[in-house]
Amino acid sequence: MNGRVSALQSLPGVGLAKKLLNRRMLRLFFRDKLTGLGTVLVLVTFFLAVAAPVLSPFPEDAYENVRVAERLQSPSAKHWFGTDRMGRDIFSRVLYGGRVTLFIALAVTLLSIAIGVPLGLVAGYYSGAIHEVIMRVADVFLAIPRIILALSLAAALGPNVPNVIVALSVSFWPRFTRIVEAETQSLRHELYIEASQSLGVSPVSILFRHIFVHTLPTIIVRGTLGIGFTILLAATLGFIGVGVSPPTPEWGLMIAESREYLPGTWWYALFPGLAIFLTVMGYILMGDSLRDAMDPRLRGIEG
Amino acid sequence: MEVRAFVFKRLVLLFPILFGLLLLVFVISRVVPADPAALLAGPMAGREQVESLRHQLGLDRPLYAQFLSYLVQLGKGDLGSSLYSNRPVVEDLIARFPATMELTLVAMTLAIGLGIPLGTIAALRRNSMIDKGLTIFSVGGLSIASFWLGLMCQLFFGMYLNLLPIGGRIVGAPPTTVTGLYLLDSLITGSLGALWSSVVHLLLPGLTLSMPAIATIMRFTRSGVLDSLQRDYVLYERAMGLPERVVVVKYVLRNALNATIAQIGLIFGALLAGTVAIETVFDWPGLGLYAVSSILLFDYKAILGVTLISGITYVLVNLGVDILLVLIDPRGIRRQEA
Amino acid sequence: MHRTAEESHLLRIKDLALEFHTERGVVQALDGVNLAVAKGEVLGLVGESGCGKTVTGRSVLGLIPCPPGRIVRGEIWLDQENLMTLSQENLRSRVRGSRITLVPQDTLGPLNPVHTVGTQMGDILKYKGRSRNGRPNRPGSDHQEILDLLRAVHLPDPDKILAKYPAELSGGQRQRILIAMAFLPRPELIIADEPTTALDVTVQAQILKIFRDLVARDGCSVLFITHDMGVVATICDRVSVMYAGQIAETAPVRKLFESPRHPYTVKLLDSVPSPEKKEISQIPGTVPTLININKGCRFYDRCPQRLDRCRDHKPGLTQADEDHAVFCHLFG
Repeated sequence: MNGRVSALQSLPGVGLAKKLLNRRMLRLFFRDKLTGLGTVLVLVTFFLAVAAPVLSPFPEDAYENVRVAERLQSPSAKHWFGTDRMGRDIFSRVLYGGRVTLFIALAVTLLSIAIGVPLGLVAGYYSGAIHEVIMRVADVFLAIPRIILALSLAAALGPNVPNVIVALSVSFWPRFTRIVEAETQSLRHELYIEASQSLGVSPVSILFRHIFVHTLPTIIVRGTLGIGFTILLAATLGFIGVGVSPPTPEWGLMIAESREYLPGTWWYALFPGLAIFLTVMGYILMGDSLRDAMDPRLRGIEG
Repeated sequence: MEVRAFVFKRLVLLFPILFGLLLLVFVISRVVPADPAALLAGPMAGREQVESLRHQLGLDRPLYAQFLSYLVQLGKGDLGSSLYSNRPVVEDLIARFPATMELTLVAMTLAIGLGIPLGTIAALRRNSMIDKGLTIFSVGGLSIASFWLGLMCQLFFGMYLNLLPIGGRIVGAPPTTVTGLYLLDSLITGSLGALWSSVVHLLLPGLTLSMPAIATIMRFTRSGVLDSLQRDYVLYERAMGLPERVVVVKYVLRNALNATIAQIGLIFGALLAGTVAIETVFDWPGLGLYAVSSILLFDYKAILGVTLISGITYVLVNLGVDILLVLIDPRGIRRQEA
Repeated sequence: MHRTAEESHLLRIKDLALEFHTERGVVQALDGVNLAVAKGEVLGLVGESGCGKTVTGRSVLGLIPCPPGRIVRGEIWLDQENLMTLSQENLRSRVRGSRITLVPQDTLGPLNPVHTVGTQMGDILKYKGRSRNGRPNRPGSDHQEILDLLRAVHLPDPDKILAKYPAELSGGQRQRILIAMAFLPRPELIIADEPTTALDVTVQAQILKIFRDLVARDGCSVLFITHDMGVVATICDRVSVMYAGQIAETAPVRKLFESPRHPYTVKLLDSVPSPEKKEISQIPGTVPTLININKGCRFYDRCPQRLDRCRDHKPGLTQADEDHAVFCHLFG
């Protein structure tokens, strides 16, 4: 688990940062207060998750650890968010929990895009049997509410991180297929596509170079919002007890653990919940503002 | 005529989707797990029991044969028996269905009753402090984990302030069953005590369940109203001096709400999903809690039963909403085909 | 000019100047417009697209959003009342839809798609109908009034029409309904904003006749905005010619056609094609943009008879005749 997550650390490389910081990007991501807030939240929560090992005062508390003497202590100078039932520092666990949650959310979203987008492109481009089959299959997967599908899959596969990722992706990909199919359908009849076809350009090339590029804004918007909603979903699974299992630090799981000790230990439930709130809000604000920036027509598309 | 054709077409399309649903659940139950028999037999079963179950279920037969007998079984209404309660799963589901329905309907009512007016106000006062505040509220409502919100409310109103109950559906005996919805039943039978208790118990779970739905409806209504306000008919109606309240409520909202109503099916699905977490927090004896406890007890048949029933309910509700939309505004047929 | 003349005018626009603040600069949409409509008269306001005639019409109803608009100076008098001193709410309750109504150009947009014609007409009467004898109208008589008006605009089967939705009717039918709606509250003034532009020529003629008959029946005044000189000839008593936010000439219709004074009017009438003319004459050049425009006569650039004075000095009013006013340096 740790080895996989540490790969994230190499992502925000210097070259990438430089490319992103040009003025147009800055104006896009900071153009008004709410947008700016979203951007800041996303960046900060991402940074905190990535830098968790460095920033945590008690990194050894991330997984197994027991400090019986310090069990269930309220917030103090030593333990900013208090301690949990094993005496572990909640602040550190919240930071590490961010790694787990963000990893799951990003993996799910990317996997869903990888499955859903090509299927959507194909369904939109071709009519007839291929189109019908793909769309009906998507409908069936959409008929079962995401969480219930995740529940039954988790029951079938067993609760651990890879299975959670699979379960959540299985219910997410159809949404991408739907929106990509709709866009592809409308683009298919554009004149320049027909021109390319008559010139003999291969369908794969058309799909990829022309159509896909046009669907990117929609995908990015839906994906950003999707990260937010997936975080909520993963936390809910953790809360119910079907997500990752202890001692993995996961926000939903921590909240579930706290239930036993309420009402006394308010900090136990409060801080992981606030972490969820702030992280998800960042993605939703960002998704909203990207949607407004890229295409006001997309106003109707929601979680 | 067009309406009838549309309804017929949608009813016909129902079957492939239901079939797909059954197939999906079948795949989850038989194909996905490593050892379906062990799963279905439960953690308590010995090896012999597992083997005999394997043979009984015909798990050594080819898949299509299994699927056929599975369909036959379902046709008879047999979803197997719950490992935990030892009752047929169907009975469990029927018993718990009304509780979830009541909670979902209350949440839906709150979502519409609060979401639409708030969204309209936000649109009419665009970019004002009220609008900005409402926008933050709606984004916040979407971002908050509803189970956490429920827990915090439970903590604050229930445990600290002792104002509201922290769980359960009612204190004392439930009203005589007519519909299974305590609110309705207590109204019908005239038991005010039960009515009061039901209301008080519905408050926190209903509100926390509806929070994301309120937020979603608010956002949709706001954008729908903003869009309608730009239309020519608003200019004309104002030029002809119609009172603003008439313009907004009678002329603008009717147009704007089309988009919102179209979302009701989706919102219903989201609410249904939300009951899983909320029922867990508030100990609400519905399908959501059933699903969760089934998982924790490895009661596999029960989980499959819940999956199936939620999928079917969702599909039927969506169908109902689509048909209703078309009945209200026949122009919707063209829109839905597109 | 004289008290009696002013009193006999229902609508009087005095020196109205209006500008719009846009990203590209300040658009001087109206520059001292003077206009008057007498009681019972049909005044045509004619000019090319973009000359400001619609803006003028909207200003009377107080419908120009400010910002980005800004009224620099001027007064708009309806009978004895200066409309510009009224609040939006007063304008709404006392003027719009009751004393002044509107016939819009587009036929589909203004009618709400989810309500029947009957509902929309009924609402106009319900909220804006002025009672006669000071008593509110009885419900039955309302319905009858609507039916009568629909018959007056030559719509057969008015009962059936009332039950229909706007999208189910043709453009011509919708325009008749809009005209009916404008006459329904028995207004003092009707502002018709190019109501026949979107219609076929044959339908146009019918609509104009209907309009003329209704005006004759009710005796109301009309500000008829159009770009079509033929329409002016058909329906108007007097006409004001407008160019780039300035009034060029005002005269009774006959006089304007027979002896136009302002060079623009001359060119405008010239460019109307007719069988006798061998070529199509045009006015060289294009309508100027209204940002940073010259302070004098705005026709300066294209005027074949311009004087040096014309560029920076705005022409004043000259009475070529007692009822014929020109705004041009050539005449005063």
